[in-house]
Amino acid sequence: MNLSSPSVLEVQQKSKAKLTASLYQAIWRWHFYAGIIFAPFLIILAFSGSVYLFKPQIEGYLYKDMFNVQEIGSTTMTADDIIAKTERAYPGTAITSVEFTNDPAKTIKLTGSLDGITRLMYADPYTGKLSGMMDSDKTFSAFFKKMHSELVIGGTWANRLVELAACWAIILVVTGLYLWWPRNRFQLWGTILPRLRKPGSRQFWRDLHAVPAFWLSLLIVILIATGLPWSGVVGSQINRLANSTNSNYPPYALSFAAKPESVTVAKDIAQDIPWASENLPVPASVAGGYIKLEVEDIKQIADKQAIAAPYTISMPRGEQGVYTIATSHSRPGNNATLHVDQYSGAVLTDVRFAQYGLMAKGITMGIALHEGRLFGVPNQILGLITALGVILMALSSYFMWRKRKPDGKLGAPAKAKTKGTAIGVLLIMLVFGALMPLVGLSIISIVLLDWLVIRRIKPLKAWFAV
Amino acid sequence: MAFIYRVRALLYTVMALAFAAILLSACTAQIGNVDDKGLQPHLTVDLLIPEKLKVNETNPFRVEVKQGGEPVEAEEVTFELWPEGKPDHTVSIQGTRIGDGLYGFDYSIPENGLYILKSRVISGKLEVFPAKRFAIGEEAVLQLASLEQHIDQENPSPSHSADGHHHH
Repeated sequence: MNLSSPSVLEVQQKSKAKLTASLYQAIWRWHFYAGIIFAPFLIILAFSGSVYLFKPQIEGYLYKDMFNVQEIGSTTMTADDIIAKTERAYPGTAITSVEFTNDPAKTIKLTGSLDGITRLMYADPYTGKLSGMMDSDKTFSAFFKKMHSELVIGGTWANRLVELAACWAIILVVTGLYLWWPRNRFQLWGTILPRLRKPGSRQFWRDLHAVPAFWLSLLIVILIATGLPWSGVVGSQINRLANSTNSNYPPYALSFAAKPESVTVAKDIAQDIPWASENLPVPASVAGGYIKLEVEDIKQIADKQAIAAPYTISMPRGEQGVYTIATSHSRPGNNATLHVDQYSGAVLTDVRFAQYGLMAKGITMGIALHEGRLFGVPNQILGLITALGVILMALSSYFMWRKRKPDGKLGAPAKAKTKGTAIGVLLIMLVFGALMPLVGLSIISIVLLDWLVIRRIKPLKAWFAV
Repeated sequence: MAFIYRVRALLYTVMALAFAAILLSACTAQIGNVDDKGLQPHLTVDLLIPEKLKVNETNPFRVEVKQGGEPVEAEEVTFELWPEGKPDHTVSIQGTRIGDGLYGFDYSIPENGLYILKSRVISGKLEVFPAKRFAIGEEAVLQLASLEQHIDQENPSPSHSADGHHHH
């Protein structure tokens, strides 16, 4: 019996340990690169998101003079009189929608358009006076919304970049969970409780990074998943999936989507009266066309159909347009969108939350959760904790990296020793890439960049530790 | 024996799939009964005002009510008539049934002027209340013409701006 030669079991254990080590190495490398590239974007998203979460409170404070009436009166003016008064006071302005609340202390929000600019105007329902107005894209929340969806720069590219960062964040969570998973014996400290006794040490930063990340991982994934239906690429995939399973929004469920036309035929409009323009004798009598209903009529329809305030009434566009009643920013479950014939008041479509397909219901709930209005302040706080957690993770990872980074090198984890593992992990990444097309595109570009450029230039090769 | 087990397994699978299908179909979008345009059941109305109206003579005012292209019985048809700008002079008239889906009243207008006629039709849970203006006398006719031209400019529609021959 030769004691120096390892037993079969030992060999097996050793090669298993080797595989685990090289798998760890390969995943760490992906986690590192994804983190270093997308951390700045994720910080921006977390910051803008945590501000936008508190839009009701912040705007309620910032714009309190605009949102609240000075004095609650005894009688209100009709919406139509307020609209007429506003349009007279600001020539060229066309009011396109009116938002009603059931709070007597709140002003009425009018949306007007003047020379292609959308303007929010707030009117006192008792006096009809405007308490203030602002361009819709220059409000406090509009700024943070743009930062959150288009990185302030705006445009499709910025929006795709946000989606890319969000998708990579999912990969960061998954790879991060793998790295966090106790490799040997389970230990309480460093796994689910952070070791913070030596501030500034690598362990300190590692635990500040990995432990909260573990705790928040589910919330982060939920926040990303509920945000993705808005995105350009994955969002449209989700939409297609919902359509193919017949579980999407029914037609006319969304107020901003296509609308039906009024069915009342507005055939006898003034321009069909020939004698008005030509020198023909004026007839003794004439019947006019249908009269467009007033906003107050539509409001009565909304009340009759039990639409919960706050809701918005949008004006018909053109002679064949419809009035649209839509609940605005209300609790999901109350969602309703109605299209009403502008002449007869016939309710042509009425789609409520209960009629949504399963995925549409999920998306609607998800959006409310994402925006922090599904279950009030606790929802907002949960969102805030998650966002702050993301910022903490990004910052702690920076310090972890600085602790390790040698001079003249990026300090990336070295490549896995076994080529098979690296390729295996790449394949797993490509599965993610197939689910999230932008991720797939970015992985392909990284691999191409690696092969065609970095490997061929020595200093780069050394810097990236290829 | 094994064969029977396999058949039973297949049967269970089919049952499970059928159950899943029923469950899933219960979760799909429910739009109820809608017409070919995706609209839910609604009333269509045509408020009929005679082209030639005379002062101090009875004039027939009618409203035609349909649902899905078919005449419909209404529980309640009422009319309101008032001179433009004078809603406190409103006259309310109960409509009578004249034919299938046709309701109306005959009325004598006392003097020249611009008037608004509003009808209200209720059938089951459905309700419509269209209104039209009409004018008697040259002054009122010109007033109505300018009013409707004004509305037309204020409310431009793509189907009426470029070509006046847009018909469906």
